[in-house]
Amino acid sequence: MLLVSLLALTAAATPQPPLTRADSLGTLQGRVVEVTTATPIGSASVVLRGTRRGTATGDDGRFLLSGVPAGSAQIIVGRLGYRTDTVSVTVRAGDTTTITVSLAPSTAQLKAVKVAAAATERDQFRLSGTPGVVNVRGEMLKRVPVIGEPDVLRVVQLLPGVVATNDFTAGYNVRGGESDQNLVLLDGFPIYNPFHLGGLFGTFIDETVGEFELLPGGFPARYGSRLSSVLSVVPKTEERSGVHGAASVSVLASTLSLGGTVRGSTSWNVAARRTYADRFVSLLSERQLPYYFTDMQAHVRHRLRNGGALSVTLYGGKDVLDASLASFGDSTQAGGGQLLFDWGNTLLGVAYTQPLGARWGGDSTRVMQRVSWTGFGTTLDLGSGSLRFTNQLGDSRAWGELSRWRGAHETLVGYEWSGLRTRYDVTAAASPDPILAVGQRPSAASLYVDHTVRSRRVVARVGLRGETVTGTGWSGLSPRLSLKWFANPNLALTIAGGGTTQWTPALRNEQAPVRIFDFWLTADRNTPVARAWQGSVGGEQWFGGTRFVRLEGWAKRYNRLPSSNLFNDPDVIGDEFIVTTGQSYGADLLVRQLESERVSGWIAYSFAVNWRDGADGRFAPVQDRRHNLNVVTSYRRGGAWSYGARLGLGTGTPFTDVVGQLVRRRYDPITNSFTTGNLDVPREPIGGVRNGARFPLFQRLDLSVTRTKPGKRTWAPYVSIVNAYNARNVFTYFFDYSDNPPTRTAISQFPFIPTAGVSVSW
Amino acid sequence: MVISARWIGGLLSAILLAACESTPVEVASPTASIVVYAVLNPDASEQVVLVESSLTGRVDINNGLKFDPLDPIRTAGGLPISGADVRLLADGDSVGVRAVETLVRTRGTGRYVVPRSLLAPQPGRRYRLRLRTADAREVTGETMVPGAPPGWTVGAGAVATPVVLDRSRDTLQLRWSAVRDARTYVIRIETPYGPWALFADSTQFMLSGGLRNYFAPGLPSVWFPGFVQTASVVAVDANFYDYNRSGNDPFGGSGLISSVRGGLGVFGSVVNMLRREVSVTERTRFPLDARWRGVTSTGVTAEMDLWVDVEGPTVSSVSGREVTALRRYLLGTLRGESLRLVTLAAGSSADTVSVFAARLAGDSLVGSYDSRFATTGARVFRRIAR
Repeated sequence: MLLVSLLALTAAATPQPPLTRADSLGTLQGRVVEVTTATPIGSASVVLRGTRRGTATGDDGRFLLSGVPAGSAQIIVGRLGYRTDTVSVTVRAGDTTTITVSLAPSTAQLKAVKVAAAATERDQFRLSGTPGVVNVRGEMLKRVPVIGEPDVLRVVQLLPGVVATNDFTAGYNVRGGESDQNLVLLDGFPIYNPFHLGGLFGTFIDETVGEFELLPGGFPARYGSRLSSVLSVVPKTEERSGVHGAASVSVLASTLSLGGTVRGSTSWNVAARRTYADRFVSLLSERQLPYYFTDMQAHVRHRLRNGGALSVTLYGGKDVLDASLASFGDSTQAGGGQLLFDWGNTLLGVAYTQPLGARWGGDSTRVMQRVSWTGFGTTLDLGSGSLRFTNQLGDSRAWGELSRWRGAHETLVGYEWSGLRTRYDVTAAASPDPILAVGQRPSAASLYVDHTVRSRRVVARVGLRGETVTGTGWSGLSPRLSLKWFANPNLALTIAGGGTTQWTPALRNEQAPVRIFDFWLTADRNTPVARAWQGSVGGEQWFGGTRFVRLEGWAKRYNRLPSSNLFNDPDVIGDEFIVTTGQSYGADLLVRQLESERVSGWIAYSFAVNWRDGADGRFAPVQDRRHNLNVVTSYRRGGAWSYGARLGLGTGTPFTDVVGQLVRRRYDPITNSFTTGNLDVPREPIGGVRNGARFPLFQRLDLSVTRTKPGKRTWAPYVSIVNAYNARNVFTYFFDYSDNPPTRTAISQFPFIPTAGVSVSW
Repeated sequence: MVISARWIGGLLSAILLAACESTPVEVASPTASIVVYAVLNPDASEQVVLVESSLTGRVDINNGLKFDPLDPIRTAGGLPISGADVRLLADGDSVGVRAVETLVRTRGTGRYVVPRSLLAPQPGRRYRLRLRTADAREVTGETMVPGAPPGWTVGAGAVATPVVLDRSRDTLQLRWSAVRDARTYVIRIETPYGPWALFADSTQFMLSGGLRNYFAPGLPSVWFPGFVQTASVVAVDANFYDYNRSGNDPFGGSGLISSVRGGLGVFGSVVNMLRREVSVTERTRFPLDARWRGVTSTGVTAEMDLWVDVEGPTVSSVSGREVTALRRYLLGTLRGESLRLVTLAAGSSADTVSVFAARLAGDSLVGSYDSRFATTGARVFRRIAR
């Protein structure tokens, strides 16, 4: 009922544009090149004059603009470092018009040209061979109601095919996959554990996000080492002259971001964020809240004289829970000694791209090379070294690619090498030897080739990825195929399939509903390289240039899937995982209105069935949410006010019912007796059938309102309400079988939470 | 990894539990399971087997009872199974020795014992457990008792004379011989806040004076000045090790490694390798670190040694021992000049005899006793040379 009302409200509030007949529209395509050298110009803006319709050229200088009204038109083409040009064209109805635009270099600066959101998604539809891709612009983050501040990962959870198991995690599961099967990239470089505060928030600073893209399956051969999905977060690139920035304050944190250009060829962005609840509490109380997190991110991109580009991306984030033990205990029990609990990510990446023109045959060629180092570390020190756990992960990576375009053909060949280092140590001050010391240092090497053919009716992609991982004795080939057939310019049918692999599983108890961070290990002789095969069939229908519907059915099969061994012996190396197999199938529906209109948003519905087969039989994984619906809508009124809403509905996820309790007794060899220790009677639950029960229905309505006051400084205060009608969604149950009758108490997920904040940009 | 994950999970569980809890609702009582606890110990005068039922909500459990080692199930939150046929069998024995159930008045306690005269488990030998309840449910188990060093006899390895440990500078080194069929060794120190114990595969271990007990809340010290504490090393079998290193996680209720068939729990075995009595002391650092003498109302002299155990930012912990009379142990806190001192019945912080609240004024401690406990004792103490 609420959903229907929400949709009705959305429809009633939407002013309908005049309908344009499909047979009065045409397509404009072409290339933008440098006037003297004919070098392709990438990232040039191509805008239809008098409209908000436009696109940007790819690295090969090509662009495509669909749905252009037939007749005479003017397009404005510009790029930082070049003189803007206005070109008159005649577009033929039902046909494609091809032009070439030559731009002359200029030192004049460009104003940032806003490209309508419609263009990117429409380009994906027409050009991409990867089905099911969802692209979301950075500004959409601010329109989704949040707790605290905008969060990329929280928005990803609302997309089709994506499940969040509960409110307390920013982690996500894609099409039935486990949460460690998602490759998360920041500007093309991998990040492990992109979470803060026990998984409650993501690490991406929203002010730095230009856009992000989720590939829920069927991704091209260039991506490896994950089974389920690729999330690519692309930082903003500042193109305006001078220094610009934004600052925001929310109940959670404060953020500052700055960006600018240098001599028209170099753009830079830097941002930092820190929570301050610890400082706030210490001002008001003697108690301590010894926790905070920080993020810092920097991005520099330099345009080279010969059309190439060099960029550097830096990220550092840390969660800190350091305190004197006395601050945790009660006042009668003295402390002394420190507790240190820190964890965080570090990333340094350098990317170089260089168009090579037509020298290597074909219409144009481009070479790309990336190198990066990604680290994740955690330290838990109890009592100043009395007991200390440390976990370190380092991923050194080199990735290179040669792309060649020739007519309708695009060929990619590439390689990827990664050197992984994981280290897990447990030491105690009392012991001269470490209690546990485990290290792994494998390397993985991949070669891949991808060939795409684009014609008026078909986009076909064939790819093959070959991989090998040292220390495992494993090598393998993963074919990746996709075919998109256009029944007409607005309707495409797709079929895709292929194999994926993963050699970095995370050691995690999937039963635990809270995910602080993952302990990453690597495959070796004891832990196999995981393998999955997936396929999808679907269709996508566009209505005009800003609205589309996509339906996709999919199926996945997992072979050799490592699952955390709950009974693993810390003394034994190699028993951390047990091997399971599994299957998933389902369907995703996406109805989307792009952000170029006053009302925007999407309806995402997913149906999925998942199971795993382990040593104790078949069970449903915790992410097996059978039906999942998210309605996300944003309404902008008059340019000043923006209203956001999100309605989430989902059937319950599985959990293991508790069928009794046992008193945990310990043997005392001194007294030859069994005691329960010095504490209250410790009781442990006895679990029933693994994931044999289901939580009740999940439902939540979030609302937000933002007021934007443009000016020399643009102020945007906002208020957001999470769980507007305080639905009691169950997080977990606790049972008490020591009383007659026995009882079960539900712990709820997010209650009604109002938050507020303000941002200012200049 | 398991330890840290549980610690982290426990911390977060505590935080989240403070969030949104709903009103409890009734649920159905499940089928009960048999839970068995049995650890064979060649050093013990009797072998003990506890047999109880898992909690199902059919019976209200009384959590307010004082622990009785002869009635350990009922007085520690459990539900004993009485009247079971419990037998221990040596290798090759098909009949076994029947354990006798301990009775409190006429009530069965679920505690079944086999005296050494009937069965003396030997290191390096295999034994089986077989029990059948009155309703014909059966539980079985098997254990291989770890071996023992050459020349081992019952009680071997125990050293009666205390070793003195000045925890500000000393380290206690323990060494023992490796034995066959031991899965690992447990190094254990008895503290007033419960045992500190660690599994170790090596045959030597250094225990520093500044050790902290990370198994107890607030990470108190392991060594307490004034206390005589037992440090021991025990060889354990795989069943004992697996049971103690595992546990059912609070969310999924799985993870515990049981070594019995037909039920839950443990049937394992241990061999005591060595035992040391450690008399702990500390250098003088604070004004409270001294010997204190007082006279009771009946003219009896009472003396006690006190030390500041751990200095905290606002509250410091205190430990010590009576020097005269009963030589009972003392634990307390010092906040500024306010001292609160608890006299323990034995070595456990849970057994309080008296509570003395005093004020430190120069060379004097002046206070009074909590009327809920014993109130006889000196009220004024003066500092004397230790």
